[in-house]
Amino acid sequence: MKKNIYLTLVSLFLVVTTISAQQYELSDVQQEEIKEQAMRQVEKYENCLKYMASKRTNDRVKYAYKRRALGLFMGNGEEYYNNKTKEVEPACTTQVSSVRRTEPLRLKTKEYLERVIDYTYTDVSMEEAELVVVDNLVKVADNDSVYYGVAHFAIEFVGYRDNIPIYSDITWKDMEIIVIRRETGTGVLFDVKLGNSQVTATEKKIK
Amino acid sequence: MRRISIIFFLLTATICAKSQIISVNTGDFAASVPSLDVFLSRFNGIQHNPYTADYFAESELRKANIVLLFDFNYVNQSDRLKRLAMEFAEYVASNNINLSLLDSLFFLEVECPVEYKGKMSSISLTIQAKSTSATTYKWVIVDARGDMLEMAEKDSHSIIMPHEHSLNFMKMISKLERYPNTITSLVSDDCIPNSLTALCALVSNKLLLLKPITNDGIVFHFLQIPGYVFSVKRQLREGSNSGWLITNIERCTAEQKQDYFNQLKPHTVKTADSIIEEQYSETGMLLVRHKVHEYYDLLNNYLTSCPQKDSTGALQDDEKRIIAFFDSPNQTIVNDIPYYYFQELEYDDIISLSDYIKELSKLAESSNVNISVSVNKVVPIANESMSGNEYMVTLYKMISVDGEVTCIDEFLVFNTEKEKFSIVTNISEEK
Repeated sequence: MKKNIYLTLVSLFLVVTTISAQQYELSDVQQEEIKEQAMRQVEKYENCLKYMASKRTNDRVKYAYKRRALGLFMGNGEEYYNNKTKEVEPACTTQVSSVRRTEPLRLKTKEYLERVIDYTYTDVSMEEAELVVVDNLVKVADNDSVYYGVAHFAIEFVGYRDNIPIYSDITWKDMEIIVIRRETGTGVLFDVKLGNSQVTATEKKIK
Repeated sequence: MRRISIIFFLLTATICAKSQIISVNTGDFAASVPSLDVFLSRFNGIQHNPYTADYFAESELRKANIVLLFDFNYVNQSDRLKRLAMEFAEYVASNNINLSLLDSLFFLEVECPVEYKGKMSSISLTIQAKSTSATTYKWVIVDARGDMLEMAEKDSHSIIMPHEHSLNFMKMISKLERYPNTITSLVSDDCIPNSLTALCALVSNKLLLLKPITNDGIVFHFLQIPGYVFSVKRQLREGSNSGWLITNIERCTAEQKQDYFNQLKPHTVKTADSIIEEQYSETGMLLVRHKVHEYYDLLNNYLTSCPQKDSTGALQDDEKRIIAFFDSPNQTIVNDIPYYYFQELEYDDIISLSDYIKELSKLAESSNVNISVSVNKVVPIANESMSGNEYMVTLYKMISVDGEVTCIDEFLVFNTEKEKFSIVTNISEEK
């Protein structure tokens, strides 16, 4: 009898923990859907970079793209209040490194975008990334409703002076993806935001 | 083997040639290894390098994918390395070995630039994944090495003299001025300072400032595959053979593996348990870890191959091998698979080893099952009646059935002389 009660309690505990764990567990379909959503966010960001870097875009449009790009990031690229930890989180950063630079440089994403606008080449072209690989989304604790992943992609960057390509590199980008699960009246929604990132350039000789 | 070698090198040449003409946005990036997630998926045969599908039959696909995870610049240095890479791929594919972040013999080594006393220097951190629940994990720093973190061993001659309280500990102060390293001998015997405690103190007081890590600053070390150690590092370059690739591999004995392990993690956090663990690590701990992993690889292999029973009920090879891991085929086993996966059995049932295998085969037929395990603790059994070769092994076992994961703590006894397990719970005592 005692054993049966024990077994019932254990089974009840297992059922309850399984259900509560499943509540926030992403199904394979959800994982894939969110990854797709993350890829679209990354592509939007890449598109903004492309216009910001090009010398054919006028300044007003460039700054409009910068605002749009920042809107894709947690806290719109500024410090933000984290409801869970009750702490102010620092603004998203972009770590930049290249084969030429020995020490990586960490910039606020907002400052990094300013640099993109101020490239000293007379023109710049960026090939948009067609392929973005997003790692499986993970969470820190079972009952968390925030998921983290990293998107990886590579783009080609060519700098021109007087219509002659003088510099070219492949930049590998690793970008943090933050997914916030929201219960709404119509169901569950996932907000996908971009976070910290690193940009690594590998130099390529111009042929 | 010869055929796959030829195909591999033809493929290498083809891919290298393709790299010259393919833009980064198309095939190259898809074939590169942009993250550790992708590396593990390809290694475990879950995902394939897009180039391999055109060249290899299904049966050789996994082997080819593993070969393509090697850094060609490294492998092409010598014929020995080419052979080693091929043999390694063959071994992994034929034994269906999978890697997991949570394997206890998987480490990450980070070379971290630091600023100490106004000067730039670097420290090396060893980091390991630790599961926090059935579905979550975190990284933890398990060791740190650097000149500023080194501390002297305890020395029984350095003490605070019994009369010093009357002199305001004057001698202690002057001794520390001249020989600051002796501080480790002056603290309580219960406290064994190590490089991790030094790291915590220096960083939290802002005396040691950690700086951004460079691209070549992270190396993943995999020690869990029997007979081999290899490391993975990021190779940033053009072409498909880029990203996280195997940049070093060695065939090694258990002793050599122990040396490799000691280099990565020489200063474990010294708790009472870990001191005992260290004392015995040379003789038994690594062997225990190897055997546990071999056992679970075998279980997984058995589960994924969906064993078909023959009409005579004769034991299959895999079943014989599972039994061979145990001290005696008549052993009983605590049914450690959660009760609800077995229809007739209760949670705390004790069943015979052969029944256990029967239940495993039932499970394999009906579900997609995977068992992974990490060794939590290995402590010698200091019982007078024991031979001194026995260790209590605490395992953290994760069983995934159709994607649903359950975690169980399991206890086994391992005999290093016989290289066999026995089960902790004795049926005759239980009933």
